[in-house]
Amino acid sequence: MAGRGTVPGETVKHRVRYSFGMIASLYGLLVLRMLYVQGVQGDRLKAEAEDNRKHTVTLAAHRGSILDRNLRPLAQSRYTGAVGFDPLTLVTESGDPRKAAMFEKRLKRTAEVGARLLSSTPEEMRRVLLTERDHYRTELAIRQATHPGETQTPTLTRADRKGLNRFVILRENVSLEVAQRVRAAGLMSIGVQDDTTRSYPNGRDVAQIVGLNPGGGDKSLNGLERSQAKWLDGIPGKAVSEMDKTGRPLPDTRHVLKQAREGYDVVTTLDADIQHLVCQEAAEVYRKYSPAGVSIIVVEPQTGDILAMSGMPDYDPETFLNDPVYRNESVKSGVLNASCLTHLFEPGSTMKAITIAAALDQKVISPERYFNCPGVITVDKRALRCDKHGGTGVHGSLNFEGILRQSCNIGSAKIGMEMGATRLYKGFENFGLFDKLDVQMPMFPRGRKIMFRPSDPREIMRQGRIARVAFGHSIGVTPLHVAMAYAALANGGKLMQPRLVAAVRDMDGKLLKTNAPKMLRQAVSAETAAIVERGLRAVVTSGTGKIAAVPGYTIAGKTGTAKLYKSNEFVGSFAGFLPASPDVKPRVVIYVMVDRPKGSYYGSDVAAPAFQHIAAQLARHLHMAEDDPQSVQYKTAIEKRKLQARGLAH
Amino acid sequence: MATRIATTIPPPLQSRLRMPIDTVLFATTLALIAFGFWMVFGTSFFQSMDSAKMGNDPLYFVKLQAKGVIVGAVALWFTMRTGYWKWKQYAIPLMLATLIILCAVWPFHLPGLAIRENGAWRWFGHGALRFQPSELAKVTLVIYLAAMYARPGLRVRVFETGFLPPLIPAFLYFLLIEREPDLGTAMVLFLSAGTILIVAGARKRHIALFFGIGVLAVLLFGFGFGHRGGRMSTFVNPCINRDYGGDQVCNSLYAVGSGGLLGEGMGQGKQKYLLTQANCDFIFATIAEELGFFRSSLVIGCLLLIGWRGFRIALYTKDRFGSLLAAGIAAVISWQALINIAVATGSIPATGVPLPFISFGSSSMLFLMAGIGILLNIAQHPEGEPPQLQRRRV
Repeated sequence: MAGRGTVPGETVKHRVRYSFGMIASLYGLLVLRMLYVQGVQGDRLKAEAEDNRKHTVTLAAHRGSILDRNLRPLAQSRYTGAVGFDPLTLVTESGDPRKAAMFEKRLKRTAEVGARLLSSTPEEMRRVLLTERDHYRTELAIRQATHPGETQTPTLTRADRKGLNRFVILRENVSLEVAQRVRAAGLMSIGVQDDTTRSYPNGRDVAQIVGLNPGGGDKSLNGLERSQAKWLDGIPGKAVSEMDKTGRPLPDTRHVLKQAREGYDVVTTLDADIQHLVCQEAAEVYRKYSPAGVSIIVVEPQTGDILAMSGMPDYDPETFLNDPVYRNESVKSGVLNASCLTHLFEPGSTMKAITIAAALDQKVISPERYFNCPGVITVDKRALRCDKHGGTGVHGSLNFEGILRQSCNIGSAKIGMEMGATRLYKGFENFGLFDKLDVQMPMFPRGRKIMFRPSDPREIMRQGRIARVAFGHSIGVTPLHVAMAYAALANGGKLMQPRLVAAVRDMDGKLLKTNAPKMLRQAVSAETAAIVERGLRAVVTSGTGKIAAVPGYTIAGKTGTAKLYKSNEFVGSFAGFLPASPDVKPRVVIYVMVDRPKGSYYGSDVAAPAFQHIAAQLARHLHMAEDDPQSVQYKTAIEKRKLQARGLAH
Repeated sequence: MATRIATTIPPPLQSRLRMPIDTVLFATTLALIAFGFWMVFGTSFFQSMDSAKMGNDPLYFVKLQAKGVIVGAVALWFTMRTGYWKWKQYAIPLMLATLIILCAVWPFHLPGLAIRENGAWRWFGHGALRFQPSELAKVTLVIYLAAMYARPGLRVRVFETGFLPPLIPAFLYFLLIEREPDLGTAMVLFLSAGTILIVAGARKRHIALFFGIGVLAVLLFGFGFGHRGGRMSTFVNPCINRDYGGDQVCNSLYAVGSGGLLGEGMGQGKQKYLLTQANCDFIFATIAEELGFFRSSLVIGCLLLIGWRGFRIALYTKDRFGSLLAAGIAAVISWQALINIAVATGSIPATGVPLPFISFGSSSMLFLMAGIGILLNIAQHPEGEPPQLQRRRV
């Protein structure tokens, strides 16, 4: 038996049992192994598995727009996708001819459809695709060559591909439409990456106010983009769910879904049209006189709304974002700030109207009180002169109207000295000149009481200081302060809170927050304001501001020429409003300030013409009714004559 | 024991010794196939629904599987109704035909007939009409070896004349299939051949030599060099070496572990969405995940049951050829199941073989069902070829 082993017998039988026993015990081992994996390691593996499947996707929040008062966008986020190409989808792994044919077909189709989608030619597209593919292949080959011990076979592992660019950008800044068409084409090799870019349709006009948001994210540089970030930025959402190997979410595995809260729109009080013409004018002045700076503000007196605000030199947002040299220079020269809000200067003669208004209101002087101007007086052992275009002028006896019309330094100095430091300070304070005028912009200073501290007894003693303050020297304010003070005069003495941000609304247009116009205080009584307005009208009709006159309209305004301390440079300015008839509510206050112009420097020469241009255009733009009595009478007469000629009137 | 105490059955016309069908084996097979349908659906519907090539049909793989099962059922019917002894005379032609087909696929890559998929030459046929020759080899090799070692006068205990000669074509099989490459199937064949050698009564030292060569070959081919070089490290730490080929095994281990003792519930598995061979080589991972330890042990129990019935038939068949044939088929099924489960549980380095009767794959299904048919036929004839038929043939 033992020697033959050719017949079925005992040997085979016990061998069958033995074989089955071996297989059965292996099954048993596997069951034990499963008990270990499932029972002992189960919880750990389950947690690891879930971690491995779980992916978090950030749902980007749309950033809100900044709008002007007519809801036209000043800054908005728009879709800019990038179309890219995955070279791996065209890299053949082996020399298999069928595979190669398939890849060739894919390449052909990608080139054709891609060219159609991206408006290119198939040949060009094919060339680009092949170049990128070959580049990728070379990179891959280098990696495989340096892979230890893996030189024999061309198998691609995930580690080999790690870090290689699989999104070669073909087109940037494509529109949402193109992006959707590319997605719909369903090409294996071409995909889209979504992105948004901040665009500024009004360019440099509103650049300083609106500011910049370079990355389109939550990092803003300046302006409203920065100060209103809490409204503009939405809250990004996130979705955590388990995903399969292609990145699709698995059914019933959503762990967290928090929708993004879209950003809110900020509605400003600016008017893009007015802003544009103001900027044009500021640029023109800047070009003509090459000053250190030009600031122009247009304010609506009744509400305190800032309709336009321009500061030269300014910057171009597009160039700023794209040109690093330009960017560095711009940042260094400080043009990112809105100079109307940040530039502190000595305002000069425009303050005379404020001094007089305060004096009249506090009954220190009466409108009929006359002051004598001898051309030069000595206060605190220092000579104080009146300019009369090129020399010392003797203005003679003047009441407040005359002082304003002739811009008499000595007259207003006398009024100031008569008031005394405390009352003058009180008067200026009432006009908000020392207030922090909050327009919700980042970085702006309050008006400075520099060199003017009435609490300090020595200051009170020094009449020279008071005299200078009375005509606008030795005091630091911003252009906005001057504009708001004049707006108070135009608004029956009511000083309004300047307003730049009118409302915040959500994407559907629902208002979330409104900044209603707010009166700060009654700076002077309505009667006083009317009296001063009379004086300011005289400045334009027969005084230093004649050049600011606009045919058909009554204008109230005041020139200002301030000499800089210890330097032979000047600041020329003009503040005024229209229409300024006694019974009409002024529509706009315009303040033009030219800092250190070259050549001519009088406010009446450098600032008043700019005021005139802006006022004339605004009158048309805002459809202001003509209010100049002479012009109205003349026009009525013409109309009447026309009608008579046609036999329609008596 | 039921098959032995069947003397009360009225003798059919063709054989007085014919026993009733082995219902346990048959029912277990059918149960596993039915269970397989459900698992194939659960692990493939999401894939086929997303694929335009598959007609966005969630039942795409189930339908293909059904075709395999229908063809398999015909094959099972045919082999069950064919007296198993008839296979003996076709053993050598079948072996040669299989060798030719294997050679056509690799190394000759016969144009029009050899089909390459996923970087491996595993298919023979044209268009939809195709099968895996390695699956065919599982049946033909067993028939061939059983026929050889059952030949009267062959002295299996003698190395040169008895033990070795029948093994030469077998080694050709292993080599051809390993080079396709399909190491898993080659291993199944090798282990099954080894089992036949054990059952055939070969000397222990010869058997040891045979397995020694196998271990050496696996070490050489499997871990020695080439792109499978990193297999050992990925086997030890699949999740740390995810990027170096440990991904599949890691995902499979995650699946098995997630199942715990009680399972996630049918259809509730998540790892199947991450496994690339979820409906085939790694179907057991999903079974373990969805059913849990206790119930997936039942599935293992069913596979063990089939193996037990097979070896039991081998034990109670008086005919040596039938005995070896039954043991061989039972071994093929058992080794294939063992390797599949061992891979899914991370117990051995990764190699892909389908889980018998459950995994998707019509070739595997067809030849395994044919094998079950042969087993059923052997069980019906514990006495071997009925004498009247022997007479007629003489």
